[in-house]
Amino acid sequence: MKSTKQSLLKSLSIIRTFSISTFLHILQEFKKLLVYFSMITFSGLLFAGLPKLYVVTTSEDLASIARQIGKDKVEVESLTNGSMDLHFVPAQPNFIVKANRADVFIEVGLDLEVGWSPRVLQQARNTNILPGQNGYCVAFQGVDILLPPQQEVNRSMGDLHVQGNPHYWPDPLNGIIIAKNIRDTLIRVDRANDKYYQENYQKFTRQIKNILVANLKLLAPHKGEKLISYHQEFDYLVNRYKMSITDNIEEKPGVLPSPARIRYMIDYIRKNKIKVVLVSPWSNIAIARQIANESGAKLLVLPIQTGASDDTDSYLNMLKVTGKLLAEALKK
Amino acid sequence: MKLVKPIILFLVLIFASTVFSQESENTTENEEAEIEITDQNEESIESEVEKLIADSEAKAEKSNGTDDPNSASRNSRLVPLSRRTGFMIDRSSVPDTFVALDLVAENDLSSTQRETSNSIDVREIEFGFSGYIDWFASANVLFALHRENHGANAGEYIFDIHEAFIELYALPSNFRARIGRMFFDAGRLNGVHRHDWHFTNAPVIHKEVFNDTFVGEGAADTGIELSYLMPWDFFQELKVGVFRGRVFGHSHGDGSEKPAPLWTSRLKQFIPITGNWGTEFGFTYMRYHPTTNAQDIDQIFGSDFTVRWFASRIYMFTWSSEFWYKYQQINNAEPTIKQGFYSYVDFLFMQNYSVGYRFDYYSDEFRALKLNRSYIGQSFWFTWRPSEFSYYRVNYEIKDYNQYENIIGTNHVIYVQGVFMLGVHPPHRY
Repeated sequence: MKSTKQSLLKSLSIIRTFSISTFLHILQEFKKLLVYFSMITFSGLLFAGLPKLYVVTTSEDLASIARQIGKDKVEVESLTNGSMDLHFVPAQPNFIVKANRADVFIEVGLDLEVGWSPRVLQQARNTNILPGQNGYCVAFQGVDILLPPQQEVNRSMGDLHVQGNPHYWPDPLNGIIIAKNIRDTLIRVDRANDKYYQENYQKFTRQIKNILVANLKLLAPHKGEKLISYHQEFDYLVNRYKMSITDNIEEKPGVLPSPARIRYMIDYIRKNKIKVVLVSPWSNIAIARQIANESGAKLLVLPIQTGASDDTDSYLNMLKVTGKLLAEALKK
Repeated sequence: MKLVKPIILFLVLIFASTVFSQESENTTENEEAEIEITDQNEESIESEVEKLIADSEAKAEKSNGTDDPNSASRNSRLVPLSRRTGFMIDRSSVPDTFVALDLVAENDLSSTQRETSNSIDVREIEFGFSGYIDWFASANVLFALHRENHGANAGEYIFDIHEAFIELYALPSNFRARIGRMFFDAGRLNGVHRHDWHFTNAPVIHKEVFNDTFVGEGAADTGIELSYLMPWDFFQELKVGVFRGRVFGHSHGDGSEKPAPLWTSRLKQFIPITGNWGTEFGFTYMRYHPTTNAQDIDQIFGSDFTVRWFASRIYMFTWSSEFWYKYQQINNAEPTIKQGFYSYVDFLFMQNYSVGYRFDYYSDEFRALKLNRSYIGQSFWFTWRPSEFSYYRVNYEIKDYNQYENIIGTNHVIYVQGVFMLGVHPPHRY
């Protein structure tokens, strides 16, 4: 009995000794780990620099402009890519995660994203980017809006935007206004870098000016040219270059054209000797192609969103490419 | 008189030469002018652009703070109610209102005609209001008038509060909460209103799990649902709900007080595959007391997934499935087990048209009664959507009964459905 008790006490002593030594050992290791962790974190901060503003936009065009204004002070992400129709984007749940972390949220506005952006904002659990807050930016403020309906609007007229045509960004001049709105928002959120954003804005304005001058020169011989578009999304762009859209294949915005409408458009183009039919990559190209083929006009798929084609990898390149493609199409 | 002809000829010649000369001069002038304009453009485009930029900025500054339609400060808060009168309405002062009308014609193609009333009826009218209350909460209040197809109230229209909840969207630390009556987040279909489904009728497993064989739109109750967005780089959300639990499923009574409330929980995550591809999958657990006896418990386990691809508004593909297992024990007797799944695909093409197919499987086992039943259903549909506010659908169903609803055999039913929306419906989830 006694020997059993002694062996038990011995065992306990071993366990106690083992436990204390193990604990001290772990503590030593933990200290080392803490030092390593601190070193890694410190070097990581040094390497990565100061935290950047996280900017989330609803389109690649806005993202590209925000990158130009914020440069290395911002990290920018677009919720959509350049091949998407911004009217119809399924509000994916991962948009909520991005909006949740955003310091700044930028949208096109004029109800273009009305089907999905409000839901993302409401679900984001981030009150700093709700409309009216410092982190929210609607990019159209100050844009000379085309086609606000002049009469009472109802849904029999198709997907009419009650506040006017929201496809304003392909006009280089509006790019400057968008940049100004983004600059103001970034300054609101990050006042310490106001001069930096202002300088970038001025530089961006000069770049746009150069592109606009080049495009106006390029398209000067086609002044007054009349074109047809599939959807009302080229008006700002075409008007800037002193041309006009005389009719749209969609009789009512957003409504698929009927066979009778297709027939009418073919006759209309022939009669008015329209040279070019414009369509965006996300619209119904097949119908536009049929009309162009049968009427003898040239079909131009114009990538009016950043990222809509390989060579429109930035907003500035998109402006260059659209001017160049328009000029080439009208020349032939 | 002899001179008349030469004089006329002379005058004609002079007139003609003058006209041609003028035309020639005009042409020359125009050409020169065009050349001048072109030259001028070459030289002055830069200054023209400078002026455009300056004008644009000045206009933006000038219109700032006015209700000018092109004002810099104008936002989506003010919308024109009437262009004729120029009257503007402040969106923030009125909630969004809407009405959804669901019209269904049904025809039982089998001789027994046991499935439907072979008529056309307004299946449901849903109407309601939604909007922000203040900086902290928003609200949804939805009413429904629906037609009962079976049971004591068959053929009657019943008025019901579909949902009436406030949503606390400004809670700290990634939390959100819904308080009030709602279709709780359980599985895929229960949170989506019936008029927004890809098919006309609910799958049998959905009706059985949610005790809603009469109407088939799911279960709603009054309580609190708290959700937490996980702090990861991908979307993962945990929802936990506690509800009255006096009734579960479709009921117009108040039920009775239960030993414990209804508990719901759901974990869902979304993984984007590409910008146009994404998959959401979730797991659900619910627990409630079907009777006033604390020992009597229903436990429900579910999992679901949805894969979606879209290309603009022209093409969209959806594949979605739900699996359910319901375990019910009453009076310590042998349990009743209900299990099954449905899986469907829907393909939208040419912007306005979609076709789809759904497979349903359901089986139950009443161990105390030594009774096994099963059901296999297949649905095919074609939908035409002239706009996002209405659709017309033909839905053909093949129903294969094996003791389910005391029927053995196959039945064929065709449904023609129309859904029409007025106003602004709060957006449905992904």
